[in-house]
Amino acid sequence: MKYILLLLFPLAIQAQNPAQTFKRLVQKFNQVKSYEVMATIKPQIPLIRILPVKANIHFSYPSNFQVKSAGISILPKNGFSELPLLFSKPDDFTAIASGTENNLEIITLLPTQNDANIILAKIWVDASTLLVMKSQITSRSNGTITCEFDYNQEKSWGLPSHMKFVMDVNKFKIPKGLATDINRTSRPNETEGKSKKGSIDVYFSKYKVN
Amino acid sequence: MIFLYSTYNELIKIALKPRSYLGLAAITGLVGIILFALKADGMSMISFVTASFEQTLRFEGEVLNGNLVAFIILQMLIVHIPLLVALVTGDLISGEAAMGTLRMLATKPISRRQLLGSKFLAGGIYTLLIVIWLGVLAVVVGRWLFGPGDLMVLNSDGLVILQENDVLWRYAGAFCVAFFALLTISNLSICLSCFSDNSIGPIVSTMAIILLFTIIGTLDVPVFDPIRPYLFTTHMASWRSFFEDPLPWESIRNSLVILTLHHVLFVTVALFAFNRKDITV
Repeated sequence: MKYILLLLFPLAIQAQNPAQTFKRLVQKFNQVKSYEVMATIKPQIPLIRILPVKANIHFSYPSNFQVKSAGISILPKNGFSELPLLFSKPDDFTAIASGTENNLEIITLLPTQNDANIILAKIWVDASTLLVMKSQITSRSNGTITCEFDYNQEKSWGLPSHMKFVMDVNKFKIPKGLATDINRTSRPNETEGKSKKGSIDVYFSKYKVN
Repeated sequence: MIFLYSTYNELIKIALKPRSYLGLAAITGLVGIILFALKADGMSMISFVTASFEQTLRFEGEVLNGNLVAFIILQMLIVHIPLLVALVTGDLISGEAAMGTLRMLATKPISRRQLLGSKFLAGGIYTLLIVIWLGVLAVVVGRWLFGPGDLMVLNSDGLVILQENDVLWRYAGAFCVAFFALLTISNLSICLSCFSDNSIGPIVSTMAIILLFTIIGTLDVPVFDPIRPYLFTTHMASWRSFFEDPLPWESIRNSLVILTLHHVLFVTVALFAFNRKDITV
């Protein structure tokens, strides 16, 4: 019996750690009630050509983001708000350890409710600084969106200086009737636009944390 | 000098014909309907285009703005403008032949070449007026009603989003190319007008040729591939190239060359036919 308990001891530690890390992350997230930041949005998405756009982003707790840009900008649907939404409702998720990668703790978050929009979330956490370095959130509405984070001056608040969203763009289709190009005299190359991933880089500067 | 007087006379004749205002009235009415429809329910039309993108992405900012409205108007109407142009220019010679005034006109101290040239020029000026009126209604009124903003254009390669300060010169270029393309219609109908003694024939023939060439151009059948690049209807929509990024200069230049060749062809055939036209009957 003693040996069995000894064998199970490491598992017990592992099971406790992700929950604690997640709890500490949530505490850090809760420190910031609102902030404003200037953002430069640079989408690189197959089938979409757009120049980088500057925008003003206002966040208010728990997961409200307002984006104001001078022109048209493209962002992942709910891309900004999904991680804060996850942190704002910690009781709705069960944290499970999924190993480590490059000294980052991988935590898988499973929803406790069957009908939750977020089906599965995975976060890569630097446990020493309590910063989320990468997230992979699969939701019913948006599919899987991966996001990588870089931090600079506002790392004490857990606010990133750069976010890179990577998303699946297989579903993108151009309505043929509307896009018929009658002056196109050659057939479009079928291999064009077959890249399956798109990315959106968002660079943040001039944080005003309230 | 006599050429300019003759052109002035031709413009007066165009101005005095009620049908000349049909085109302007039709454009005004159609643009009005499109503007009303877009104001009332424009977002649903746009979401139809962006639906597949919006499953994953979110578009921030005013997508439905004056620049997009102007583009939609151009896209919808530029197909119908040839009819409005041909309605007036197809009548320039055959109408006079039908009324018997061509004979009287030919007794004036002006060569047939100059007379025909003044008709081509007058037809071109009328076409330019139509394009300018369309431009004013689409761009000026569109921007006044919906406000300026970035332009989101859907083409066969995907979505192109052009910044607001990068749009107006593209419209200027697009209207110039659209005018050059419509001038082909004007020249074609005047050319056909030389072969007819009634007004309807050249107008209907012009539309029939446009329809035939458009169908050949849009049919995705390999047998038409060799001739498709040389049909003027293939290059009628080259104004759209101004809304691509980067700008396909090679394609625009190619379209202008093909259209110029058509202009030369139609004017030459018209000169040949008009110089030999029997106006005594």
